[in-house]
Amino acid sequence: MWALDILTWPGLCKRILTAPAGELMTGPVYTSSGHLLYNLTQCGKQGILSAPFSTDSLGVAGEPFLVTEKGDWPSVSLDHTLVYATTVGKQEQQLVWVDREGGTIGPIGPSLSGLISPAVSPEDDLIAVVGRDEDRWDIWMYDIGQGSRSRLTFDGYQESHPSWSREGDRIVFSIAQNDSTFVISLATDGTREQETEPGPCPTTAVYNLNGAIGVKNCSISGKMT
Amino acid sequence: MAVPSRTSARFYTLAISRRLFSIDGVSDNPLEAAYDVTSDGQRIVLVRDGMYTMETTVTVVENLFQNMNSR
Repeated sequence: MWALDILTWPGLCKRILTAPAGELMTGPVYTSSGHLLYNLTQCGKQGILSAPFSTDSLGVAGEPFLVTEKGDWPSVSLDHTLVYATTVGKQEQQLVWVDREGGTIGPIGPSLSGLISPAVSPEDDLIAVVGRDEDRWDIWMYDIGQGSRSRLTFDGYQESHPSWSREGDRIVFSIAQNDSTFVISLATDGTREQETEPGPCPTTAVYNLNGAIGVKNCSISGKMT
Repeated sequence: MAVPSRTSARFYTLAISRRLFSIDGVSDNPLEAAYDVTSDGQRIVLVRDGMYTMETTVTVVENLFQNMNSR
């Protein structure tokens, strides 16, 4: 449990605020406006809250309220200017070639966050892969020869599991939208060709050798249909 | 792991699987694969974790005292 205590000399220690369960409360500062400012961290999200504070009763004199949703380590100057920091961590991934012994041959194109599920085209010239940019998960296309990449989907939903057709002219992948998922076949020029009905189960799909799309639904229990 | 196989109307495995190599720093996602193989089976594309970076932005809010008195 996290809490804010106030200490006065000599010998007074008084608890003035207690964080809700699972939340971290740090970095308190007192401002001459009669407020406390402090960080509250919940589920990895940080924000700055403020609570009216009475120096007479040495206690909080009102309900805390949100100053900013994204912020950390507030500092307030004598002229009442607030300064705070916002820190964002970012993990980049890189596509690389390796040989059958695990030796690195070289990188493929620029790095990107959240790369997963690479699918090499039948001609070995393109790679369809899931990547994240600005909190959006889309299908990206890497051109192996040119070392470049481009975004293939822009719909704002969460795409996953790209798979190539035998001819290399289409890919099929899954889309998660709210509580349902469905499968889309997309020509490499960006034309949508075919969709399944949205369903409640996580879905993956692959082209089989005859060019048909095989769809696999996985229930929460792990049973496949 | 690798195993010789044949694809036709059904998928056949033709021998015992063997380990090709082990490698560190590959993205670990239990729901989606972090690799694929070229058509000739000689090259493997892997998703490798890169550098973790932190980006910090400092924000300045003027007249905080005025804004708070309105609460």
